[in-house]
Amino acid sequence: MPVAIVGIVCLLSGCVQHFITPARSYEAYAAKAAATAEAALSSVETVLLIAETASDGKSFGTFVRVSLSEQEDALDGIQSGFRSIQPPDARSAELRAELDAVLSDALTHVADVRIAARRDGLDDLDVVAAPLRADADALSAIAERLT
Amino acid sequence: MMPRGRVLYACLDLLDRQLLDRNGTPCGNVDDLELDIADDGNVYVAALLTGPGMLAYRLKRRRLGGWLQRTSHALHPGPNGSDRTRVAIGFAYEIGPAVRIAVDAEELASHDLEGWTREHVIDNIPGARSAPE
Amino acid sequence: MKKVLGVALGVLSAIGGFVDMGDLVANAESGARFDMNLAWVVVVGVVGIVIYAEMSGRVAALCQRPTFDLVRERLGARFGAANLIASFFINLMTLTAEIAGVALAISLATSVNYLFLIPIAAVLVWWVCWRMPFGMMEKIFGLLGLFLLVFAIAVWKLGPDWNELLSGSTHPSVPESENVFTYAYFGIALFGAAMTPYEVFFFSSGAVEDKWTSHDLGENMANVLIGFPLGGLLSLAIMASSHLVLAPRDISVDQLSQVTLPVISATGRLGLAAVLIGIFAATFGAALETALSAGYVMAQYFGWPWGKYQAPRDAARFHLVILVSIVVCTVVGLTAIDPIKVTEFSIVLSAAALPLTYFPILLIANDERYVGPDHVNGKLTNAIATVYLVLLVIVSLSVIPLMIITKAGA
Repeated sequence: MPVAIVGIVCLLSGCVQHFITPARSYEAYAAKAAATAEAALSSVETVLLIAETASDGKSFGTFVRVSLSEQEDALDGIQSGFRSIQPPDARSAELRAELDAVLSDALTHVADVRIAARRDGLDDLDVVAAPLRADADALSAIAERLT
Repeated sequence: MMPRGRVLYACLDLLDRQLLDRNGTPCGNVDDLELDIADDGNVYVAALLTGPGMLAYRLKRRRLGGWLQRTSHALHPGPNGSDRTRVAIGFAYEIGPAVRIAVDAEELASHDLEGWTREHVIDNIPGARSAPE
Repeated sequence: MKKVLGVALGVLSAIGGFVDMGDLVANAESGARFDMNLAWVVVVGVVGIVIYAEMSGRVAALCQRPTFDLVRERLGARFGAANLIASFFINLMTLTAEIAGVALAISLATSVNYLFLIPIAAVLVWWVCWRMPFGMMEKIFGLLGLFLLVFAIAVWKLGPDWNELLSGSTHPSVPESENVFTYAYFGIALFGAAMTPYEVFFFSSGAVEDKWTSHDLGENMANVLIGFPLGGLLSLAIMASSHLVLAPRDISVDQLSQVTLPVISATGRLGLAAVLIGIFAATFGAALETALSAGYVMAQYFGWPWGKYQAPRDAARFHLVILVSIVVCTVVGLTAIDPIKVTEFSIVLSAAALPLTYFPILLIANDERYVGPDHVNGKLTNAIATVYLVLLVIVSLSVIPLMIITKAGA
């Protein structure tokens, strides 16, 4: 019985997705990059939606602040996770540079939205969030290209 | 002597049944049975066994079961050193969905931990004595 | 009149109490990733929980024994012990998820960091289990849970193409962006979210404590037969809202706040306030039930005194188990473990463990010696219930392989 329990616990812990295992080939690396891009896209689109509803007066301050922080933390985690994967070859290294640049841009823009929400209020949040549209398109393009 | 006994499926109708004391307080399950073979070859249930270690022993965890039984007996033996895990079958006055026995829960080893928990943990938290409704 | 009111109250609080953290997460994620293609699973799950709860309630009323008590007795101590360990562990995961849900709801309303709120939520849950009049609390949280109807209002306001929604639900297929394994995995998650075992432990223990008799069966079954399906409709509203707002934007659900975005988009501030109240009530109510279930399963296996109406000192070990469970879940929550991931794991593992508690009840509901010759399962009930048993076993065996293949639904 104890052996079974230990076994199940090991099995379950191996099922968690963001287990940063190394990629051994370009294909494997590209798959991880695609997953990263999709996860980042979800965060960016969420921030866009939060900003849109906030400036339409549909939301209130506490919710906006908390949910923006959540997305910023999530995006940060996604980037750290991606950065920790060693690219196996030159082609992967190029991909890494490309995706990392987009992630950094997105992170900067999300931080801008977060700061604006706290400092200036919610009315013009969609304007502040506008650059994220380009980031979202870039992430979407990368994800599509790689799958 | 040929006492008339109820014939039942001991495993199904007695074992693992809830025990209720004379006040209706749950006081453990029938963890094990003490069987007796009479001269006529029939098997009789002599006693119901319940308490720390009894179930473990039955489930083949003999060392654990034995240790629990000895510790529990050492900490709180019965009057005249008797075994507080043993309820002679004569005390069972109703065998149905639960087995009702004509003892008080405090007399049984299975209730010791309840008393200890009540004294040392629960009573120390405010509001323990009154019922919620 | 009073009786009708009483039944109505019971049904309403059953609807509001149906949804918990697992339903919120599972339905929102499914709507975002699979559109309405998993709606049929919710229907299957609701029918399943209705059958399961009906049998448990009938058994509890007719032999005054709750579900877990009978597991040991009917299937033996060894099987019961395995069952206890599995059920208790999964229950703890669920409790962790629910407490996190309470903390998140408060956090979204107050912008206090949710980690600070976990201990507060935990203490509140414990306090209600310890002191508060339970019947009243259950009704209050059940009724407040009705605020989640705002999801249905949101769907209506979003003005969807109803034909499209219906065809997606009735002609399910695997979307291009997903594969059959993730489809099956999320199907199991939805199923586990609908057929939660703690609900049945709680329900049957309550039936014994409230001393239901065969006369009460009709009235109390109204809660199950009407309340649960309507609660299922509420789950589908969550799924639909997510499909309409999150799916087109490629948003997948990784935070609880994302679940509320469709409501905000459609109904604005009032809707946001309503949904946060609803989520708070639903997760708090579920936390109460799960915490009590932790006590129930352990006390019922070992034959200890138990009960939510008694003074705590008269059910000392029962209350100790509840207290320790809440503390353990709080500590786990404070490790900043991802509450969405914990929720997903808890519902999927619940689905895996379902046969363990379903099978004994099916046996006993058919056993004259327990329920009497007049109340054994009818042929139709048995037919459906047996189909479900087979389904549950298949689901149970698929969980671990699917978890590995899909890396837990990634």
